[in-house]
Amino acid sequence: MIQSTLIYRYDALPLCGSVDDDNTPGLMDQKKKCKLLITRITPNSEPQATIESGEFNIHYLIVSSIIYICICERTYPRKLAFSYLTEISNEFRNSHGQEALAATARPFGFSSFDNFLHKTKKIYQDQRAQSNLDKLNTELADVKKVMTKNIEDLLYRGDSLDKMSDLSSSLKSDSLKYRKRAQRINFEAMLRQYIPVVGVSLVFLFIIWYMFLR
Amino acid sequence: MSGRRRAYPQPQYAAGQPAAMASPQMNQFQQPQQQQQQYDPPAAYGIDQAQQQFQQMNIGGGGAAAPGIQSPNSGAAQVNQFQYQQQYQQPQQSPAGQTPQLGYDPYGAQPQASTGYGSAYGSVGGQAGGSAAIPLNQLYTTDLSRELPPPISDLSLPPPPLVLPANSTVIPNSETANANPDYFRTTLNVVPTNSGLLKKSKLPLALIVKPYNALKIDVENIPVTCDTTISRCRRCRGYINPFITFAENGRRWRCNFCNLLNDIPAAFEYDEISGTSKNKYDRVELNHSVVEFIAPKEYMARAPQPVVYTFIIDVSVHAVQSGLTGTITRTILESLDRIPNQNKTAKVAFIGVDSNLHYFRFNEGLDGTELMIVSDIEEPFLPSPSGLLVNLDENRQAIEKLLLDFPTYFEDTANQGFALGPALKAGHKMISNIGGKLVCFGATLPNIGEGKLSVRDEVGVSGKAKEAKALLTAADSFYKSFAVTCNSCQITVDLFLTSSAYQDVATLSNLPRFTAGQTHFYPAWTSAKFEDVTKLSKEVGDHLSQDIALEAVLRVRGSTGVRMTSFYGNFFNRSSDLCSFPTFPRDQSYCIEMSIEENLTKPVIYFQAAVLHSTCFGERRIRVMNLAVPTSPRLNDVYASADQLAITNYYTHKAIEKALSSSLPEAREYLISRVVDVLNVYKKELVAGNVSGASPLQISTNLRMLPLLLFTLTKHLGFRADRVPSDHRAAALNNLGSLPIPELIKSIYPSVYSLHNMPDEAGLPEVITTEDGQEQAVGDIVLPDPINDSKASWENYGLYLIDNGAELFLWVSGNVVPGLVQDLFGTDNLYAIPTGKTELPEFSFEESEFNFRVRAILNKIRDNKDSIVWKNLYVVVGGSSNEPIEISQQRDLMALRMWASSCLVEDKSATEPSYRDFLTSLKTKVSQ
Repeated sequence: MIQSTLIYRYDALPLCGSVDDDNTPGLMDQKKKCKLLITRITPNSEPQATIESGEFNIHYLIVSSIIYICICERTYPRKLAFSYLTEISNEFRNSHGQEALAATARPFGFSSFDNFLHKTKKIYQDQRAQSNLDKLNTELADVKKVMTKNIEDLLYRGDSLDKMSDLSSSLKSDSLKYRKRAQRINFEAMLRQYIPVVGVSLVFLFIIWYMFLR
Repeated sequence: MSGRRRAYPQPQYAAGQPAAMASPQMNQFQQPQQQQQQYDPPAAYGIDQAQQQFQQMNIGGGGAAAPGIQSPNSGAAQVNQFQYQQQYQQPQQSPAGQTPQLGYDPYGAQPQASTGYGSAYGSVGGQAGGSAAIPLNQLYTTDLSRELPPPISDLSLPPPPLVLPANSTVIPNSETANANPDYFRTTLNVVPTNSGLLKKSKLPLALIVKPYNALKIDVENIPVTCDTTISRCRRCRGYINPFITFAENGRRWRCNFCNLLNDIPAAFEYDEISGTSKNKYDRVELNHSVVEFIAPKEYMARAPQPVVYTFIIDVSVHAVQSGLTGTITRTILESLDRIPNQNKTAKVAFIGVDSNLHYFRFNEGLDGTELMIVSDIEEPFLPSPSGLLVNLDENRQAIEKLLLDFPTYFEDTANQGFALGPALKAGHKMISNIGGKLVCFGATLPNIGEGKLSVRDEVGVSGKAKEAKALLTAADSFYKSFAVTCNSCQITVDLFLTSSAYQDVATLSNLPRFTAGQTHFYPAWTSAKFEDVTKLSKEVGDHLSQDIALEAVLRVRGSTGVRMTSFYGNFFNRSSDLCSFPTFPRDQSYCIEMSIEENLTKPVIYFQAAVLHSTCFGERRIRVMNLAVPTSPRLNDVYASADQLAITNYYTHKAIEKALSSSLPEAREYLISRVVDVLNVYKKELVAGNVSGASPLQISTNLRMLPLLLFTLTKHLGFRADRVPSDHRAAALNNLGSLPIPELIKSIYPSVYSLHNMPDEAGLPEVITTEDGQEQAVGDIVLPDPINDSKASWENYGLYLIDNGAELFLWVSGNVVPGLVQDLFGTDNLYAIPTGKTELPEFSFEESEFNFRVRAILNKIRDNKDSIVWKNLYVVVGGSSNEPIEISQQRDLMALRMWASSCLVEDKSATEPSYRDFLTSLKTKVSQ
């Protein structure tokens, strides 16, 4: 189930939020983490990602400088979550897109959008929405393309949400290079390990040859 | 605003000469003919006096001028407004030589003063030198026993002006810098500098806060800041206000509460968006005392919630048969458009309650609702996870259909139960994650399930000291503990109780009291009476259409040295000075008691009240009200600037507290002893020279109505010693504890208008002269001036209108001229007119001008922009010596007469003395 939805602007100005969320402490906790999350989002960040956080997943989508976040249970299919986010992002951009980016936008100034959020959420809660997925754009929700991170790493261990695309392409060539280097180091280490033994045994042999075989 | 005087009490005497002034006063009373000659132009008393004093200071360069600005005009300095009064009173001089109604002579409406409070407060600025000690309001003495009948026009005067030194505001001569008394006032407009002096004065120090003065947002015109920049002091967190001072060449500001220097935010000087520089002096928060800040996101814990109304409707047999169910559903249907719904996010839900809970589930977008009945009231649960609380706009058709059919579902019920407790819990479950209002309509005593109440035995304890404890305290702790759970979810509960039997208002009213709601009591309501239906539907409609604020908290700050100690009103006191309001109603006011912790060294101290709230259209705002009050180490100054109406409000709250904690006789004793204390202090400290033989009832002019008000408060329905049904008493006490000052004073001292001899312009729109010299009849209906609440001045052929804030009584005396009856009611026979709760027949202006004017007056009195109360009209026929026997045997009429007469609080009643007797008894108490 989609527990909560938040729409923020890139400069951390809240634009809209769902109002009928359960007030469980767990969810309140997640919302606080979302606020911290938003401060970590930079223009370099991945446009769609899922953050694992305890028994919830936080999915976000960035479209034209507006961040759409939804907090769902861990078992909720990611495809559905992202198609939900896409749908609300389209609707929001069409109805409020210009005003939201203006400098005079007030915090939570678009809370009237909550009606649409509520209705869309209900559609996605209904199990039959699964079958409707065929009509939706599935490329968007492809698991491989969406980056996955852990919230602990992100907030407390200095991980970042930067794009991984450049890293993955160079990974292959880098790994080959490292392999060769590693092998050479291994060899040198082995040499270093055995040279004294070899040296001592050569000297020993020489002494024996000198003493007995002359 | 017609008929409202706008002058500081204009005294008749110079200070310190009470004896000499007494005689002209007496002359005046006995020789009314002389008044005609006394229409001198208004002498420079009051506000103008302050101005003149300063002018004299400037000229003379020194000592304060004597207050006796030459006018031997110890008589009235009248303005033409009053001519008509004198004229119509003269023919009424009864041969018995009764003292005529001249109480309000000394007040002259200064033409300059009519520009409003600004002139009072702003006039001081810019005249006197900055460092000279500002002469505060002068102390004038009156003798209570000579001022009979008491001058009741005092009750509609504004409080004594706040005299501030020049340059105390950032923007010099700002007229709107200091708070409007309608919003924010103190009991003492000059605060004593140390707590010893405060104790010695025996006057209370308290703030009366009324953040909203109209039910709808558009009626008020509070300036709103232009952006979300809020500048607050770093140490005390006070908001920037018109009384700060700029330091370091205007780059920083000094907080007026704690004296810390703070930075000025860049947005004050420079507008980022348009790239222009701005003038910081243009900002509204430096110019006005009441402003609204738009809150940035740091002030929001969550998205602003939508307006949520859950209606819990009694559908037991009693409610259906008395017509409550039908009336309420029809009223809600008609009010659906008036519910504040600018964002189209408002949500509603309905629960019907008898011994089961009836839920109504809406299917999104489809017509028709499902009725689901849950009989398990031990553990109320919601039968459906969604569809119970729905968006008003999107399901409008289905909601309207439900409301139309609602009464039919229950018309044959025989179920007598009313499970209010379980219904409240179910409602709470439904909206606990959003918050909002639970509005309950009940016609039965809650008798099953949690929170059930039983009838308390009244006969045994009435009249005894333990009456209050036995009948007025909460019988069940469910309501108080439920209030706590409601507060944590931002839920407010309002109750509309209409039972004709006992309904334990005392216990039930605890729930609205601690959740910032209100209890409305309609004793013996029935839909058979058209007037009852009108009253209930108008009040419910106005209540639902209020532009309430949501998720609000109130915090009051003062300068260092002053601490807020107690808080009175309908809210939940969360921590030491934070009051939480799940929703903030617009028709109540709150009282906060203060204590002086350290000696106050500054000449002016400041108070600030801030309400952080979400508006009903989804914006988070902070309404900030600022007040600056001068201080003084002299008792004279404190007494000269005490505000009697605010003091009455404070003592009302204290008396309610005393009644509920100890007993009613003790509460009455408490009020009387407060009067005695004040008189004692005045006699000992303030009367120049202890002239023995002088009357002991001397008091400051601005406090001269205080003994009357506290005395009539002891006669109020909530406190009187007669046998009063405990529901009525509890409802009266509840009202006393939450009414704003104008309504409170009217409830304590009802307004009486004499209609048979009202002036010609009363009842017609005010005539305003336009620029081209023509007179146009536009403007408000002119009301006649009120007269004293005493039958002593009544003619036995007169027509009187009594307004006690909750009802209107039209008293038609027994010997009235038949012509008047014909004009007003259309019939010649006095005893054929409809009496009791009824409305006047409507005649047009041509048919009967008198009827037209009287109805215009009634409409004007009933029209109120900041209260939802709709007053019912009761027509009473007074007794006369030649009335037919069967009339005098009608018990209803006798009961009505007694009820109306009980509103005449200056008179003697069966158990209570009259005001004159009270003053006599005071004489003995004070002389001791």
